[in-house]
Amino acid sequence: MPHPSEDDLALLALGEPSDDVGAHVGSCPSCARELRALRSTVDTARRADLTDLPLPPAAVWQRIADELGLEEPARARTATPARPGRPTPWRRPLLVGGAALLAAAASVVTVLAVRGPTAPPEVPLSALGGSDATGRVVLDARSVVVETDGLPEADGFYEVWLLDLGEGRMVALGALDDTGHGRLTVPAGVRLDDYPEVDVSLEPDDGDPAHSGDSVLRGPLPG
Amino acid sequence: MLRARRASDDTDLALAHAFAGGDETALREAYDRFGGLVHAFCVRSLPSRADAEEATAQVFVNAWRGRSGFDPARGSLGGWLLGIARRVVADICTAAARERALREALEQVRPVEEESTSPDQLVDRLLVADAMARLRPEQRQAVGLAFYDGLTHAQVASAMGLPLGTAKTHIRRGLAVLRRRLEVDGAAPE
Ligand SMILES: [Zn+2]
Repeated sequence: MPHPSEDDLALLALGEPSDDVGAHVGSCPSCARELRALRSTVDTARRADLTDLPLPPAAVWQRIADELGLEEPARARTATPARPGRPTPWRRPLLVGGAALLAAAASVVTVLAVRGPTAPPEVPLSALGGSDATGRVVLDARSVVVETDGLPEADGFYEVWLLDLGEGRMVALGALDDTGHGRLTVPAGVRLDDYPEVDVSLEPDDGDPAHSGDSVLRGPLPG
Repeated sequence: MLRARRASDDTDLALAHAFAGGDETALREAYDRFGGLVHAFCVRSLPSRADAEEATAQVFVNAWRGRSGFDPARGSLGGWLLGIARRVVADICTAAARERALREALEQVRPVEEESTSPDQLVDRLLVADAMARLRPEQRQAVGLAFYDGLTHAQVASAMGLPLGTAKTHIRRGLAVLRRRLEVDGAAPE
């Protein structure tokens, strides 16, 4: 028998028995391979939960827009009070996953977002490992805002961590952008009280998510 | 095998390019298009709904900030967003597991082993659901009857009032669309 039609192979994958097609597939490696691939799709599809995939509650989009300082679109928006300390103007994209060469520019003078009288306290970071970089950190609700100057250009990227050296625990928050700035949201489930310190490390682009051990700045997490 | 391109593929691709180009309205469109998919993944991966909502928001924040790392030529926006979702969820789970381990060590309780769906399986199943929702209506109906109600193609044809050959074709094409989606965006190896 010649190769069966794609239609017939699909039906066999769905479990409709056919002696002719079955016999051919038993002796034809290429059709057998095709059938296996189709069966795996059928298998996954049959386990799929075919309920709708509704959008999350509106508060989720609000959180995204707040975090990114997006201009509110006019549509479908009830008034929300402006929060102090926000928004930061748009800056350079954050290097998620450490994909890029980081060019931390010592010459770039950046300032933290304009903050009102109720601004949360700013805490300096100390240089480690012989670096003469400087840094500051502000805790704004669940965001850790880190501003640095003078981090040397290096292969890899600078990553921000919450640190509890006593317990040997740490949480990666994300990478600084190439101006040495980062506004990083603390992951859900992480209690800020558990982490007394903020750490900035130089991470090589090796795909290893663990801390490199090469800390360049560290300081207390503002309360 | 012939790969059928569909209009929704082109729409998704245009959206991917606008997103990569930094168009803020594309972020909202990406959220409207994929927010449900990402949220479903987070809801099914995390025990608390509050965590899932925070994770969903985090995925889009990370995606927007990291969009320079997204290349539409190398993968779809939906698949890329699900990759970010997996990392965000894994981070939350790691933190939660650490807390749990500490609590258990303090309380001397044995952890309960749970049988659960792997992230790969979950991603694939959600992708299928998303792809199903985008099939042409007659394909979706034919595929649904054949996949989930166990009808033969003859029964599908009679239920839908179609010629046998047309029912077969709907089923085969629907299956091909789902397969393609899993191959493009899916997590599990073949
Ligand atoms: Zn063959």
